[in-house]
Amino acid sequence: MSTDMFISLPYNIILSREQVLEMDAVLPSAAEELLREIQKQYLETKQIPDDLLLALKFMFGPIAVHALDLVDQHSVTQFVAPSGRAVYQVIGSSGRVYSCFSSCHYCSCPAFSFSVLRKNDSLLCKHILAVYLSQATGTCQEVTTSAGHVTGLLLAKEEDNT
Amino acid sequence: MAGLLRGALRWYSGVEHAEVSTDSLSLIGDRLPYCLVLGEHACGKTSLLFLAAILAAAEEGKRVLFISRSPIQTLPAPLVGLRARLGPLSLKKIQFLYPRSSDELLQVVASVHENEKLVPSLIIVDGLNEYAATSGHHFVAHVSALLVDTAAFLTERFSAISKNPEGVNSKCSVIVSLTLPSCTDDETEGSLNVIERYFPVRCWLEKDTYSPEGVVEGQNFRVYFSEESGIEPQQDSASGSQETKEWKVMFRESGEMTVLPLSPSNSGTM
Repeated sequence: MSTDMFISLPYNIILSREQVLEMDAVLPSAAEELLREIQKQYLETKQIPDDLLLALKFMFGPIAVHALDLVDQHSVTQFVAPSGRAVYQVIGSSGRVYSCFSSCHYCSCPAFSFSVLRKNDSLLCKHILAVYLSQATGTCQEVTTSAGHVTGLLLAKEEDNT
Repeated sequence: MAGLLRGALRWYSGVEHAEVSTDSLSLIGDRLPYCLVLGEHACGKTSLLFLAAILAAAEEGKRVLFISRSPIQTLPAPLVGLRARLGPLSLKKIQFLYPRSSDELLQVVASVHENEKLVPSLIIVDGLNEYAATSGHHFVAHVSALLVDTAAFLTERFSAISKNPEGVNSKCSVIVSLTLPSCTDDETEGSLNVIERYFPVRCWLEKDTYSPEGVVEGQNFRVYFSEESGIEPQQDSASGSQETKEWKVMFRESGEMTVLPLSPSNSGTM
């Protein structure tokens, strides 16, 4: 097995390019492990160390930087209904607003539709990654709202943003 | 909800009927409570889903939301014989909704959380392709993700209030059926790939070309479950035997349905 098929990362996260490209509607375990490490480090130092940033870029490609920008700009908000039903809203770089779900990968943005669903060359879009990162760093804002408002956000469609 | 479907097949077949416990109906082989039922037109998917709904309501006391584009006017022919065994109360636990468009379907699923007194623990969507036919991949992902996300939220809520986290009402499950067209184009295949992202456990109903002797004229189908690697079918903890992986469903001209389990030893001879 050639050495360039694997990348060795801190904290025993070893993954192959095939694992990274595994397609599904939830995170692969290597990605979950990376986010847990980011959460742990951020809790202690209030920043993401360079080696974990590198791992993030390797795992998710160019969207990692865009997702980090969105987190820095506090673009992620979780809206919660009195029943506990929740949905994420992310303000994109263009100022448009997109909805992301909590338990599986879905985003109302065009990139999710194109790169993830149609071309199948991305696991997720920058907005979904921003949701994960804002959860890991504790920078997601939480807003209590009405059941109807949450339903409306859950229904947000791709064409609503054109 | 592969476990519930397996339970429905076992129950209908009459095999081990007396031994089918409420635990085995929903928990065996049920790591993920979401299942996609696939098959060609008129192969028994609606009957199977209906049977699963009835069992869930009657035997497990689950509240069921059954969604379909076309109203179900009468009990499917194969299930008519069961009418005497169904109490009126069990059917009352099944709520039937018939959204006409993809937008209405999304609205129905998105607003499930709004009625806190009538939350379902089993959501069935029969014939998703009828909604997806005129909508793109994004709609298919949207409704699939909405179903999974809604079920995940309800499961979390049930677990929080239930004293028995492993009990039959501690999960919300989803079964979706999809009719496969006779010839698939890129668009259909793309939609199927999208749905399969959210529903890795699949129940297949395939036309069985093998015709054993003495079989009355009608149609025969094989039913089997395929699961993603890492989610292996579990052993039946009650009997100690391997969970049945394949079934044969036979439809007579009269509409009568017979279900037979196929064990590995007789799957080639049934």
